[in-house]
Amino acid sequence: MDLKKIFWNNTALSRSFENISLLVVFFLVAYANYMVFLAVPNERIMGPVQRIFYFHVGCAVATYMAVAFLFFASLGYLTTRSALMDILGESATEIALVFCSIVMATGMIWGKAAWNTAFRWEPRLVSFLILLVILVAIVVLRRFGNPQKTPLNSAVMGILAAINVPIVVFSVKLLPASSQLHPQVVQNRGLRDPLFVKAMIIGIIAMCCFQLILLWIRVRLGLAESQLDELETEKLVN
Amino acid sequence: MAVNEISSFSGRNIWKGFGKTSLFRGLSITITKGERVLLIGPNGSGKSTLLKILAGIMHPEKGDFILNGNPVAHAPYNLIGYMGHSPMLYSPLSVTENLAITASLTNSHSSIQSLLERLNLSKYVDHRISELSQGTAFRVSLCRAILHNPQLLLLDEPTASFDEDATNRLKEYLNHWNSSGDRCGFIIATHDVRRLCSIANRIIVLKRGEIVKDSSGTFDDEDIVSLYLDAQLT
Amino acid sequence: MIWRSIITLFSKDISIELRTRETLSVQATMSLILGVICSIGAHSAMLSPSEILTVFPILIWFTFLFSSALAVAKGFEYEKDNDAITGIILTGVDPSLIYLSKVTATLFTTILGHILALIVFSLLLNIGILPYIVPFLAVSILCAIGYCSISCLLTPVALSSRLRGAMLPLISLPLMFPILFSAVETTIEIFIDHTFSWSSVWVSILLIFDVIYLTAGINLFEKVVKE
Repeated sequence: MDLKKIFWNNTALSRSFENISLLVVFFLVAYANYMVFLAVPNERIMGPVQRIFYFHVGCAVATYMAVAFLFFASLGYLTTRSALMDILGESATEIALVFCSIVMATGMIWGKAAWNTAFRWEPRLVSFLILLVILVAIVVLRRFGNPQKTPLNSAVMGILAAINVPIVVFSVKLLPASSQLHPQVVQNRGLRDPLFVKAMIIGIIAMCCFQLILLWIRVRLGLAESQLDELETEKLVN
Repeated sequence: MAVNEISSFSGRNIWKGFGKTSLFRGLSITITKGERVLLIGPNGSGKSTLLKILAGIMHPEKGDFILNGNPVAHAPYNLIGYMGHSPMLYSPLSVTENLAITASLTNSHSSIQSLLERLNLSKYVDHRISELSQGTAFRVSLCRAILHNPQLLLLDEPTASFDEDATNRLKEYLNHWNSSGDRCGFIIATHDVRRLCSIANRIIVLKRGEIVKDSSGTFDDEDIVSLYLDAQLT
Repeated sequence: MIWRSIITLFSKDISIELRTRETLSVQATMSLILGVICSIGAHSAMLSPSEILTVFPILIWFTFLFSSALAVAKGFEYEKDNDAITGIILTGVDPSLIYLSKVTATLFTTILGHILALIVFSLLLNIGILPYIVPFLAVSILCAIGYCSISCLLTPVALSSRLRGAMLPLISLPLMFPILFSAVETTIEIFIDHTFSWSSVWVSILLIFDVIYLTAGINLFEKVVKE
């Protein structure tokens, strides 16, 4: 099964798959927006600003998903040296960076509005900040690295970045409760209204599907670039 | 089971590219016992890259390696002697110290002193590599490559920095290197075909990552010219 | 054979350092300069002794970070110079042994530089370090192990890039955040709160990352040094 052909070949099947996926994601995101802005009631204490929580959590889950893709793509590249794995790793890095930035931005907006402070040095926020900086470092490495060694070096960095995520998340749990300032909404059963739960789940699903379709499109773009390079090379040789 | 000699070593279906350029597209090469190979070709044909891949210091994108009929990841380092475009020596350390490191890591029992004498390097024994001329540093690099009595020598432009005396010593060394038939052979990538053709019994011409000519036998100047012309015209 | 290889590789690194004294000099000088700058800053701001003690943890680790970054990059210079590291790989020695000897040699120079920085801060900022020297040195060694592990793995990556030495802090510092964070918190526990214990969660985090980064380095070093 040639994965490259499945991704790239502009067959009716791949076009239909892409169009249907885009449609599904569009409706999911639209539904999520409807749930968040129209369906759920205002939160009792924080008011309307609390609605950002549904996208914040969704984007956080999407970030972890993208980092998981980065890890497996990096591992795949180190094992097989496949160009497709490199393209998948590059795409996953960029998508993870975008969603991580959204998490930081929405978190800061929420924090400023709810607690009058954009950022607090508490473990969960710091762990996401570290992840953001690591992802920026990988993007810089891809941009300025040795072109011949960039895929390999980026794969090594990708593995190190992905290892960091669960370790830091785990470390957070080791810290005393007094230092856990990030709201523990789900763990503390803060979502009493079933609509809140539903909106959160829809938000997570919508962001994850959005992340997947972005990844698909970015990988296809990477494959197109690679195909163009090959054609240019053949032209030079001939 | 540890392999102690090479009777044949092959790189099959080797693919290697650099960025947008694809150099090797399924290249295969085999060297068998007794072969003394000159690898020639224009700049950018892939001579250095091929030697690095065979030496195991560069990974091909695809490719298999067969040693004595058995598949391997790459040829075992203890049986290969490689000399490249850099001396691969520590500049703050002396000649003896550098060679002692190699001897210790390869568990070699060869005498460093006698090897240095053979290549006329005795007077540089305690000199730091940073104090040596480029040619002398490469002669020390040659010592490093042969110190552990390898079965197969892979030399990339060994005479590029050598003077006439050094080249003649190298030719003399290589002529006697496999005289007893207990070693496999050597592959020398070179532009210095005329000076080295007398020690070769096989010439491979590489062009744009492909083997365009592979001739065995003895070679004189006319053969060399004809090989080069054939390679240019194809 | 393995022990002989480790001893040979380690002796090689120490011999180069003793002969050139470049890495130690760079580290020592940088520690001194940064120590003096931080001390001048603290005195110019007219911080009280308790305020100086409050900022001391971040100052000492800031100094460690920047002086060690130079030391690690310097330590790899001779490996890349003349492509010497390829000569070692060609001997067939396990690349993970090359990595471990490099980490060990770098650890020595890093710790020595760190001790010098500690002495500078102690003298210029009038901080009593002797009662806390044992736990602080132990934490320093743990932090240095993590730092050297990740830096020795990423230095070949950085040196092969277009930015060369400038790339190293960009890619290694983000991965160092958890270790540095823990080192600073432990230093606060030692010098300020006086609540340090070996079962502290920050020590656990240091240990976890040391193990993770050493393991990653042992497994990935071969891939970053070969072409």
